[in-house]
Amino acid sequence: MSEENLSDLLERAADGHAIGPPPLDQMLARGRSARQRRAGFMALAASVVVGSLIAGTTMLFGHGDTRQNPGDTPPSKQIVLEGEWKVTALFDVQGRSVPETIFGIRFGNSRVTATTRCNYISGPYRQSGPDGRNLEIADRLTVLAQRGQAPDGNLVACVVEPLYYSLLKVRHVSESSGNLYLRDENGKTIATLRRVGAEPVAPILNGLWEATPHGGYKVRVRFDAGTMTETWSNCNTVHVAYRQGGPNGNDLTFGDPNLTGIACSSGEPLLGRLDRVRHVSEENGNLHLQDVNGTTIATLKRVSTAPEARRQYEPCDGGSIRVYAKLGAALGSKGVRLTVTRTAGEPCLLPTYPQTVEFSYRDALLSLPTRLDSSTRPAGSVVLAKGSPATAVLLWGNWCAPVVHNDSIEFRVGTRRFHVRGFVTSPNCGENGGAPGGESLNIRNPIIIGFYARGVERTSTSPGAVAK
Amino acid sequence: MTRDDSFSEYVTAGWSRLVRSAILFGCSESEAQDLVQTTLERCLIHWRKVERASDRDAYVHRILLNTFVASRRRRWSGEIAMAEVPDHAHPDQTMDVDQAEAVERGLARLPHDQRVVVVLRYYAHLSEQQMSAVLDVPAGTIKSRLSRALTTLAADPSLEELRDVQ
Repeated sequence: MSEENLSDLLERAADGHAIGPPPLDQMLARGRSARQRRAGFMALAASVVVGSLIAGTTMLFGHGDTRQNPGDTPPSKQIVLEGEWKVTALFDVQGRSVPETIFGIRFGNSRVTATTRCNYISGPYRQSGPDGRNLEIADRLTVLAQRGQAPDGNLVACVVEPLYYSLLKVRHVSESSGNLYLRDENGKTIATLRRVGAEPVAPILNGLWEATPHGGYKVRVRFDAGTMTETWSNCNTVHVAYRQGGPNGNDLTFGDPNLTGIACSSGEPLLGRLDRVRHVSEENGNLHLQDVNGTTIATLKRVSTAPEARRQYEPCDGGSIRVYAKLGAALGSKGVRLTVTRTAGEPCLLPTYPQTVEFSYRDALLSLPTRLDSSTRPAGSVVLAKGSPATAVLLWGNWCAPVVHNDSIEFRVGTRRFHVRGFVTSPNCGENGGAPGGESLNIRNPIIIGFYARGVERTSTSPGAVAK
Repeated sequence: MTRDDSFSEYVTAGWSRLVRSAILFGCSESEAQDLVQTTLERCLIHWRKVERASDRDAYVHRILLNTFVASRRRRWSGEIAMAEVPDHAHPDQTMDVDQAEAVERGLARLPHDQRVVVVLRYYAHLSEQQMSAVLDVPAGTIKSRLSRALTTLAADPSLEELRDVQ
């Protein structure tokens, strides 16, 4: 039991209280009255002291600087949904906890895609509100259900997952300590997600940029994890928090700048204009910072992409790699989660999907079912580094026909083959054409190959996968 | 977006969560709703300042906590106001209710300062740094309060699930 369980207990205890809607109109009306009273009082007070304040300020500070102290009010953090998540807790429409899952959810390009034990679910979503806390998923999602052939010859579909109904109820989202909480309109938790892999680097801003030369000064700008660092003429450095949002990352706002040096008195081209920036766009290697009307305020020229984007890795060849496997079964599907770990050496590249998955029975290869690679992730490789494992989920049906007996799965990483054993009989298939009492698992087409994803924390050693 | 629009969006998204936080602080449901309403009305007056805050949740929780402490100072709370008399039948939710009551009993046994840090950390999901800002105490104090609270909760016989929390 971990501290997460304390969170779960508190969530469940709090969820037991039905909360009505907020008395919004009443609050707004009271707020307006209070503001009017305050404004009247402030006007009176201001008329008395304003003269002496102006005089005093002018005497003390000359022209004065209306900018707030650096670092006082950086923008609050936008909730970033884009990327891959693992569902760590799910509650059905009655608020009951759904047992352990192997669900994965991906947000990207305004679409949410969920890979469940049985189905692929996808649909558009819209994030809005302060800090992106409002989240609405389309009222009708596309479900790509696995279909099987029932004994009577008819095609049947998997039961639609609790996740499907739960997603339809999502109205709000919050994030804390790497966890994402999807909530219904009453604030009840529907699902808890944990990010798989790092938060995606904003593709538009990523890298090093150079501002248009200004007064003979050389100005360089780097965007990194919410902070823009600008240096000019090797003289001054300014750090500014930024917040990027919008469906395509085109909304951009800056907080107050934090200067680390004042040796150069002029030559900085951006500082006084950042507070007007509202949008960003990239075109032909130029980054345009724009105001609310889309007018370009400043243009930056790309110098290089981020170092991590340029680095090249060798494909994983199977050496110094360890694989664990965990079996799961529910709702008409069986599956195995493969966790691949780099035990030594430099990081290497895994392919997008596990390669050459084969089924065997008593060490004899069976004919490979139709392979259906998951299309929920853009093509690409996963960097497998020591201490940062990757996982992939393989799914196949356990409907009772057509019957294929198997007791293991084989797959390859580079040139090395891994052998996962330990499958058992599907309990209900004996009278429907299965193989009662045998070591078989009744598989059917297609087998679905999930993509590799980084950053899974928990592994299992039962049953193990061994290299052949 | 106007100030009222922005405020309305925030309230719509966060109302239930804040009310439930107040309940875990020790308020009844109706008291919690009053408390959160008062808190949000205070926030509304200075809404632009709230919007600019580096951490809006921490800011609002700080006001919520101050309002809660102030309400406890001036109010005799031996009598709990109920919106309705709870004498009607409910569906059998024995396990859920038992568990919720066990958690609330466990929280009630904690001293106020420990109860608050548990709720802020494990329900409001504030970081130690944020809690330090909300409570205006050093991070080390937050850690020691959390540690003592977890020890107490882990020893609570009705919260067996928490035994391994330490």
